[in-house]
Amino acid sequence: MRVLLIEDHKLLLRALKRGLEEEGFAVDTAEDGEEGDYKARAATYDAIVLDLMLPKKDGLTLLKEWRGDGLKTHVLVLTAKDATEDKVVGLDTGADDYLTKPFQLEELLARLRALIRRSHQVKDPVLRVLDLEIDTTARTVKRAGQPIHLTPREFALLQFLAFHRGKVVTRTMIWEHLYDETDENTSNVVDVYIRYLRTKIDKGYEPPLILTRWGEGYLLRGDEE
Amino acid sequence: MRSIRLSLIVYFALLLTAALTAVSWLVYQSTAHSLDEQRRATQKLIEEQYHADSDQMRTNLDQQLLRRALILANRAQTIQFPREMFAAITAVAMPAPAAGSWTDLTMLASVETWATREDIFYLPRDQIHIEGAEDLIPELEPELATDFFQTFSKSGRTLQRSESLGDHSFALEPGPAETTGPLKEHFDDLEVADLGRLRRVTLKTNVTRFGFGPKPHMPPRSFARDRGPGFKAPPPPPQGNPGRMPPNLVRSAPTFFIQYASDRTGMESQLADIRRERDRQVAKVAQDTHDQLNQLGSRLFWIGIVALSALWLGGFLLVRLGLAPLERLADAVSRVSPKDFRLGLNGGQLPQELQPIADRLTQTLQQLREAFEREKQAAADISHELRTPLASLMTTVEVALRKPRTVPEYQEILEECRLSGSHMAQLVERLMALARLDAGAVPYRPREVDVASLTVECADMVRPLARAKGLELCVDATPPLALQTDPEKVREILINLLHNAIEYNRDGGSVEVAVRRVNGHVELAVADTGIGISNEARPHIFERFYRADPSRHADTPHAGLGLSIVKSYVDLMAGQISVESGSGGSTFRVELPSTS
Repeated sequence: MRVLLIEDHKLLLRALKRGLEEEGFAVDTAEDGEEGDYKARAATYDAIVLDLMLPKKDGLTLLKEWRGDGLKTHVLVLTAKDATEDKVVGLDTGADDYLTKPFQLEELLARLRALIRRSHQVKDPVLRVLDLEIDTTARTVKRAGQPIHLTPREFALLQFLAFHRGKVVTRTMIWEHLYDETDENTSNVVDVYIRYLRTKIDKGYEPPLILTRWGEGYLLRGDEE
Repeated sequence: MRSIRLSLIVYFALLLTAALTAVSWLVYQSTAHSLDEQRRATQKLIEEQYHADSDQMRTNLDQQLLRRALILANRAQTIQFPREMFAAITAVAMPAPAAGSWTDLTMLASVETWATREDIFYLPRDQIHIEGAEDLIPELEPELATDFFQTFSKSGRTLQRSESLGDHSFALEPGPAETTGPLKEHFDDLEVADLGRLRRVTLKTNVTRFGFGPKPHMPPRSFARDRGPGFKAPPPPPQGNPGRMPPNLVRSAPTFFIQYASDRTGMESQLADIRRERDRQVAKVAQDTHDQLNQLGSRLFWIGIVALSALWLGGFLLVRLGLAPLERLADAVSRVSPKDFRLGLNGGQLPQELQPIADRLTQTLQQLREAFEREKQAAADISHELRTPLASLMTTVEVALRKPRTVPEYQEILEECRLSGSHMAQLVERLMALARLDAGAVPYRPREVDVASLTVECADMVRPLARAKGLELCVDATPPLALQTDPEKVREILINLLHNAIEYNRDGGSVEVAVRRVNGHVELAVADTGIGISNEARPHIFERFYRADPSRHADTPHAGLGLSIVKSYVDLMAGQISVESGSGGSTFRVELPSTS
């Protein structure tokens, strides 16, 4: 899942980026309003974490403009302003969630996960496909009751496929949602990871869940099939 | 606890009582005085009446005595010579023819000679001398049997005494006896043992007439004598017309004294009566006055009581009425809540005297509310300022703990933590500085300082920072430039301004710091080539937590506090700070007085 962090406090930004990346997120950052605006419009993110007090362009202004221009990306506002009226204003302007500093990292992660579920209209944090169980909150995978260990990248890929189960996901899509701007785009990377994933998920289990659609991309087997 | 109402009422009551008492006393005194005057006048009148009456009584008695004495005198003025004496005398002597006739002759006899008739002789008329003729005065009787009289010759020899005198006799005082000329009547009082208290008049009178009386053998006539039954008083002898004394004899006419006395006890008892009456009247007047005064006194007392009560009540009500606005004010004040800081009084409800209080209170409450707002705001700002560094610290640590890391990683993480910590520490420092400035707890310690070297020092301190940002730093300060000031504060000011200049600068720009003596003070100037300060921001830049560009570079320990601290320090040193700013940059000027 790809996330845009817009925060002007360098230390916090660094810490958050590391934290999110370690959770398997692909993280892009921006340190002022203009940069944030540009990036938010340039790529599709699964969520945007937005600080309100930004130089150059204020967070609320950004939000208002985004919503006015039809940008549908979920936005979590992260700010030191904690007064109820601030929360109300933030939410009413178009934010999807509001978290005040200082915060617990766990809470931020949980809320982000919730936002992402929402964007895929998924309610159950545990994704089930046949005998595959993906616990998006605990970040564990089981197949036929057997726990399978995945690296964060692998998990993110599997989760992404699971969110789009039954639908073909192109490499580009995979790339866009799982890799941040700093990663080098080699289409091979996707294939490599698919292979890693298949090894762990499909090997020794029936039926194979990760399917290839040649010329298009990959998909996770849906329940109908 | 003192109460206005109580004191007012008490004082009013005291005043009232005092005033009424004073007035009553005055009224009483003045009335008493005039009543007294009246009493005295009346008493004087009574006295005078009494005196008049007693004098009248006395005079009446005296007049009575005098009248009676005069009657006697009148009778006694005629010497009655028996004819035989005349005839005998004429028969005795006629030696030489007298120049005159019979009528020129007078009788001359002394008592002794009258008895013996031996030395009766006549002298020529210019040598005539009558002596003892008073013996020949007729026998007199007092008007009333209770009266007394006694006649004396000129020499004081008793001639006649009234029978009523008995064995007593009067004495002729020498004084009256020696007076020649007409004697005024002389009155006196005397007390004779059996006779009682008498009032006596002494009268001197002359023999002015001669007459022929009865024969000497004839017993003297007595009006009041009773001889016994069957006694018929002999018919009065014929009395010749009392001849008048020849004029040349008048001069040497014999004089005799009559003393007539009468019992005065009657008069005295009358006097006592009127005196008693007078006393009674006087006493009555006194008593009346006393009663009137008492009545006045009690009336005043009751009036006073009633008036006092009424006035107390009225005063009490007045006080209550008068204090009602105060109560309203107190009530409104007590209803002021810490929530809305409003004094619930509409304008015009209060009287003139209290309105200033209400106004001032409202004003103060307003100021309080603003102060509270500011403080709330400041507290919010502070917490707000600290949140982000805190969040970054917490997040860093949380991320670090999520999974095991390598030692270099931990080192890096710890370094980041330290940075956050120091960031927060600096922030706290500034906030503490501001708090101390607010509380007036910042001491100002002036001493002799070379401001120029100080400036150079500060410039050197920030030089690396400027260089890191690619800015040029120019210093215009030629030591020595001595000033009595607090070097720590000056250092703070310069560092702050320099940091700002570096911070708010554009790439490739420059920072200039200069210090010089201008007129009577020292001027520090820090100029940058930055973006400048907008007109709308300029009035606010020295306010706390004010950031012209909200949260620009929140990782540097500025929270909009730098300039407010600078200003506070400048104020502490009695200096001035000003800023000029345009699109090409800003220049901050600090003036420090020469005698800081």
